[in-house]
Amino acid sequence: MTMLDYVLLFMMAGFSVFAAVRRSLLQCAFGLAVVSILLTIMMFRFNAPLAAVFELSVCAGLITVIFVYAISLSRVHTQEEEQQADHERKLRYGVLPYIIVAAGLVIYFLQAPLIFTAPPSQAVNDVREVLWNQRLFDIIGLLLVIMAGVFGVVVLFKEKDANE
Amino acid sequence: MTTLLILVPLIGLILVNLPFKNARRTTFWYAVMLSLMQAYIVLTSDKIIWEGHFDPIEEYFKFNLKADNLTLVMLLSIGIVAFCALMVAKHMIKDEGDLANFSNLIIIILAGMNGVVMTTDVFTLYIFLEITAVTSFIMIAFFRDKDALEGSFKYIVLSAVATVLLLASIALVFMVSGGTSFEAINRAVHANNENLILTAALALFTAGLLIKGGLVPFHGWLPDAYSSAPAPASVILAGIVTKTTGIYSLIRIVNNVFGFSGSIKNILLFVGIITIFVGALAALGQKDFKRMLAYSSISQVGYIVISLGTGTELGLIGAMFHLFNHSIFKAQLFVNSAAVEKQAGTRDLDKMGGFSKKMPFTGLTSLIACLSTAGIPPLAGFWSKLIIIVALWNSGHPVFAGAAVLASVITLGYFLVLQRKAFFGKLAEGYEQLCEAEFGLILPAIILTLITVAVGLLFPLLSNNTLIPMSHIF
Amino acid sequence: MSKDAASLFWLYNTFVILVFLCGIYLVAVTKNLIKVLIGLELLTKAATLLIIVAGYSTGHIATAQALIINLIVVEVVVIAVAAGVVLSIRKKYGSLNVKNISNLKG
Repeated sequence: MTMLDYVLLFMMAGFSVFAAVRRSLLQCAFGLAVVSILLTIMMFRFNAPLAAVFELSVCAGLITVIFVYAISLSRVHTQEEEQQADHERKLRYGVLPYIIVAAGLVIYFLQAPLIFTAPPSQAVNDVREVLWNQRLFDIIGLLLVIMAGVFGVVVLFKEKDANE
Repeated sequence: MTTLLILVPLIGLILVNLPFKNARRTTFWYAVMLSLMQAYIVLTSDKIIWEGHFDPIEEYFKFNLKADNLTLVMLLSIGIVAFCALMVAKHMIKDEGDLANFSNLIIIILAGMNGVVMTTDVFTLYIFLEITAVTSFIMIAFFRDKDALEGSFKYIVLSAVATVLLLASIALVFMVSGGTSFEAINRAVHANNENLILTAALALFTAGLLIKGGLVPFHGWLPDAYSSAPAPASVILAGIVTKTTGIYSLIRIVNNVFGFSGSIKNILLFVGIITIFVGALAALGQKDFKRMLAYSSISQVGYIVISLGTGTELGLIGAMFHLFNHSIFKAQLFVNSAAVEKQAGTRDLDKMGGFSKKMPFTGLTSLIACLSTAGIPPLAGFWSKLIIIVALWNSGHPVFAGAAVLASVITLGYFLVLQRKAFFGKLAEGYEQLCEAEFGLILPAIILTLITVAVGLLFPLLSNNTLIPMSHIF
Repeated sequence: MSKDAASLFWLYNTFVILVFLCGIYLVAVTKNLIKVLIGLELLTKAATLLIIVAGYSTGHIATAQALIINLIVVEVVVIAVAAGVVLSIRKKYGSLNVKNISNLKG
């Protein structure tokens, strides 16, 4: 563990809080993207480059695009609503940073005993082989999930409302 | 065989969506054929083909699927309920394109649930749970009316939270066991007795599955999702989806992977009994046909969980038997509600009355399903509830057994309210022109009623030939 | 599990729980549907981090990578469908505020 680990972790917690408490939806989405990027760096440091690339391109990239698209289609409130909302926000989100800091301290010093007989280390250490030889069925599942997503987009974004 | 139940729907799904002429029209019939074939194969096949020997496809791909008796029961119910949902869809969805899309979704959810019941790996279980869940979100929001979208969104939020709990649990067991297959985890559980991490993992997994199954206190999404969904979607959701994703997985995980411990038994017993009562009491006060059924569904799922909570062999048989019965008669009640909704144009119980005179088949079949749910002999529901109560008594929980009997009386109460308001008595005003639904909508109700009656009457035969051998899986 | 690995796991685990808390707080408290989705994403991030740390600290990083790749694909489909539902809600109700969207009552 080096200094960098701590910096990354604290930044991650910080940007999670940022994503939670900011008012502007765009800033929230930005906070989420930064959390993704930090996660990517951690994956590289953990020697998991393929997962890191996926995380970077799909989570930091594609999902942010989806969010920005959704945000751009939904429009802002009036001035009064904003002022009203501002007041409520302070009450609702003001406590979150304190909760996070307190919970962090409590959990860190709790140090539950992690005792178990560790499994033997992995024989195959290539993710491609693992994916193809051991997790082939998951890939079939992914095909089905993607099909479901395609039909979801077809159904949910269909322009049938013209006659309404 | 096991592999084919996933691959055939997947490949067919791709084929029927190729831009051929008339391809879209075949989708519905392809889905019907798939569901019927599945039920037929399970009923007629020899046990040997499920064991994966002599199966070239299985040998080649090494999917590690497994089909024991519990799985076969689930596969059968999935086939039957999917068929009924398709029949309802045919009559409730007019537009041809919509029907094709809906059939596609049914094919995906069929394959997804087949994967859930056959897999032997927790991570694969997660993927297939998500397939099923995503498809259900889309089905609920299919027509994009206000209530349906809201119900769908609630389901998305709670399901996503449940998923994260499952993933956290998978990460923990992966750390301890070094793999995610049931076998590896089971080995790790035996090697590390009463380990803190494994206990946490089990707690997280159970909590996630309780949310997915709609158990109290996590039941908030369920009535909204069921009652706002389009009729065919609520048939398949209430009939089989939540039972597969929530309850079947729970039985699998607790029984085959982690094993029973004292605390998990107590948790299941308490959650079960609370669920039974909250569901039943809430059902008493409902004015909406489908909402009442939804709360009744919550209550019946409580019976399954409480039976599982005994941890005995008899309890597991009871849980499994009630799971099958419940998916049959709940699917049927939702088919009836679809028929009523289509013919009368309302779901408000206060506006209905005397529909039995005009819709004799719907009235009769729903009466039988209600009686079966309430546990009136000699229908199927009576036997499964009897097994559950005996199991509770034998395992030293007489209080729970008594409470289960009491709740059964409440069940009868709210179903009599339902019958009296909707089907008995004087015909409500404005429904003089009401007539019976088309044959296609009655057919699934009749099939399901026949199953309920037949299972009930043939129970002595079944108990020796089917139910007792089932216990060998445990 | 060695002592080093255990302390590394616990350090990361602490932050996993913190990110999880942020997400669950956001889901519970917010009134905006898109923010609910952002909260759900934060939860998934926490789970991803937990899997990779669990794999790293026990030397099963290859399997952990495979799991995460699968997880990310599933996650993006779920978010796309959820975003579709949110956009349809916004079209129907003309609002993203939870207060205006509560016909059903649980």
